[in-house]
Amino acid sequence: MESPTEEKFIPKGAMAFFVLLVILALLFWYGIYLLMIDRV
Amino acid sequence: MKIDKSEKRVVGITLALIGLFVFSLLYAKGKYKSDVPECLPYDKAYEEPKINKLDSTTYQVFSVASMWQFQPAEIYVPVGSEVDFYLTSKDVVHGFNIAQKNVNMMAVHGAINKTTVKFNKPGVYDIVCHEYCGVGHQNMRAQVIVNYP
Amino acid sequence: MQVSKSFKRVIFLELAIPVALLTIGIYHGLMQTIYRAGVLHQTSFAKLDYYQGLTLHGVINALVLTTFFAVAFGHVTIAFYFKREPNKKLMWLSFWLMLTGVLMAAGAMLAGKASVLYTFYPPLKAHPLFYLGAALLIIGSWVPLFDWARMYNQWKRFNPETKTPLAVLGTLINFIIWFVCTLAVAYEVLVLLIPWSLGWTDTVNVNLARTLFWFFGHALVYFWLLPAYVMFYTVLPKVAGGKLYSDLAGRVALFLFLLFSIPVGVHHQYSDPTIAQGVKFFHGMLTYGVSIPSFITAFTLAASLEYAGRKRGGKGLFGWMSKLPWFDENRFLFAYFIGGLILFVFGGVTGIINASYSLNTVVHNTAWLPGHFHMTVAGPVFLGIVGMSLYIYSKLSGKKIAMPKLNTIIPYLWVIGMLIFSFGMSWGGLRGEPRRTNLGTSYLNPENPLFRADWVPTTLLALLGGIIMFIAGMLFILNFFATILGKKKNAGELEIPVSEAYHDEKRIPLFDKFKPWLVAMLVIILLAYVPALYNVNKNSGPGAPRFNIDNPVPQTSVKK
Repeated sequence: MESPTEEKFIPKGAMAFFVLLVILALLFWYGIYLLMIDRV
Repeated sequence: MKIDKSEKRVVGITLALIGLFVFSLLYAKGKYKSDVPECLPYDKAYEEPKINKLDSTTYQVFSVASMWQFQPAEIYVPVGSEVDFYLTSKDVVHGFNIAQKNVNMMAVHGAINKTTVKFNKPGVYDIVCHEYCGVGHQNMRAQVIVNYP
Repeated sequence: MQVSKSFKRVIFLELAIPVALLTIGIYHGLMQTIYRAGVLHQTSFAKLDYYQGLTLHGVINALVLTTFFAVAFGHVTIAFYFKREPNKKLMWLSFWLMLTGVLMAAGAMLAGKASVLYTFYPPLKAHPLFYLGAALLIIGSWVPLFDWARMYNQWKRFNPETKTPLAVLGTLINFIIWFVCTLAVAYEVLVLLIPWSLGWTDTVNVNLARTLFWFFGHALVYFWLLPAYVMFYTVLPKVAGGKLYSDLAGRVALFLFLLFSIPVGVHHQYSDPTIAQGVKFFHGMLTYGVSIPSFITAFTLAASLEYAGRKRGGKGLFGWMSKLPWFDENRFLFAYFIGGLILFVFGGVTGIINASYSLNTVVHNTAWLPGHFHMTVAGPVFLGIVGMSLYIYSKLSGKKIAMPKLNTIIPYLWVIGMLIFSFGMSWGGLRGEPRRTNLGTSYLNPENPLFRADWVPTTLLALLGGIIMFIAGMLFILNFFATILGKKKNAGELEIPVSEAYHDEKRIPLFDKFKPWLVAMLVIILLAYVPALYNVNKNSGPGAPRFNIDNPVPQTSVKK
């Protein structure tokens, strides 16, 4: 991972962070979803 | 110069995530009837607190919230009964929350709210007012008692 | 950029007054956690009633601090980027209108005549001065938009081909959203509530008032959030030592906010009567629409920070994170911004749950909600506001930060306290713990038949978090006023960091003009709110009379 020269910078780390964020959203969301169904 | 490739992928992932959530909501609505309270036109009849027993396991409760009590304060129903809660308020806005059963409605003056819930486990279920309604708000709690033979 | 004395004085007042009021606002925040944890089993403390304190907490922190800062930061941004000061008379007119409004509302609240919380739902009635004060605060905050719009049009005539600076675009979009959404609450306050509270009309349609309030209420949270977004897009990359990953991403996000900020308000009314389930679902879907710009922002900021981290020698997938200036006192804005973003990860994720239609029945009006919004408005927004207020003041006055080391750790102390507080509130909320309730006198009082043992651990966590945040908040206020009392180092000038963009895309006309977006915004608002208002009108019964907070009998006589 060379330091970003002007011409080519691919935000791999940011994409990895974003995927983790989406996973966190899924975990939280389905956590509450299952709680809702459990309470029906 | 179009939008950057990574940004487009991010929008794609977001839309997929939203699609998944929408599908799950519709699935839950279909399979478990998980929904928000039903919308009814105003009707004065619901301003009289009442418990109607339609048959052995179906009840209608006309719940009326007022400054600082729910009427009826105690609702006895047998295990396995399905209860239609109709809710209104005689004065300010109140909340009506049976947390263990996802019953979560607002009691508003000049409006009727409705939701249906099935009590299949015995126990005492608290009905908590969760909207500020004046100095007595923190004492406003009724109960559904589910084991009455 | 050198600025006039008058400009400096208005900005100083618009920054310092809210921070001074913050002492009361944060004190009452701490008091909430103390009451709720059952440390106090009484309805008032130091002659301030619980709900009076809760109203002060909400109004000061969420209405006064945010509105004053948005106006001050708008003046600073517009002046800095256009290299010309806004009209002096209008700046002072806006300030005096807002200050008069705040004094009126504060008077009513402190007299205990307006303990109706910052959402002031009728038919709980507040003193007419409270409503008039709220109206003046809003009208005062409208004034700058017209002046900035004039300056923007002038600038555009001379620079038709150059991209409008992102910060200016953000400020204008924010205040357009603000102006459009406040029309509804201005109607509610001026036409429905003031005549009703004065006794000129006997009843108010509560459902209509609530729908109008939430037409304004959700866009209000974007009015809080967009100044923070402007800082994240245009200041953070520079402060972190890198570049903004994509300028166009910022524009797309801002215009999406313009479209979707307002037509989503009914997601605050999922549990309300009179509005059809279909309309609620439609607003839910539009709320998913408004989550897209936030996801775009999350990625774009991460990419900008990655660029900065790598430039500082960060290696590996996440190595860049460790190279960022976390504790660099000369770049303290980074600490405030990153602290806010850490909280905003959880604020955003929980927000999507609240917006998700039937999931909302699990959490509506429980302590989960304050758990959520303390990680949005009291997270990135608050830290952005206080961090930038200190920065602008220090630059404009030419004074050094009084305690620079302490200043850099305050945001992290706030984040720790907030995570504990929000975890406790959210967990309690899932157990049915209600919000906006003096739990100490009933549910958290062991002698009371309503006692709920399962809410003890959650309210204690909230108390612990509250104490830590209180300390961080007071340290900030101390440092802010110590800086004000400090010695002048130089003449002081208006200067805010400006980030370069890594992808500095060529000007795309569609993303550099307002008209098409304003038309689209109006169409979506009509699609979303005509059905909602039709429902409310069709399904509402008789209006409600006036009720004081302490008397179940409606107030018929006109006595205040």
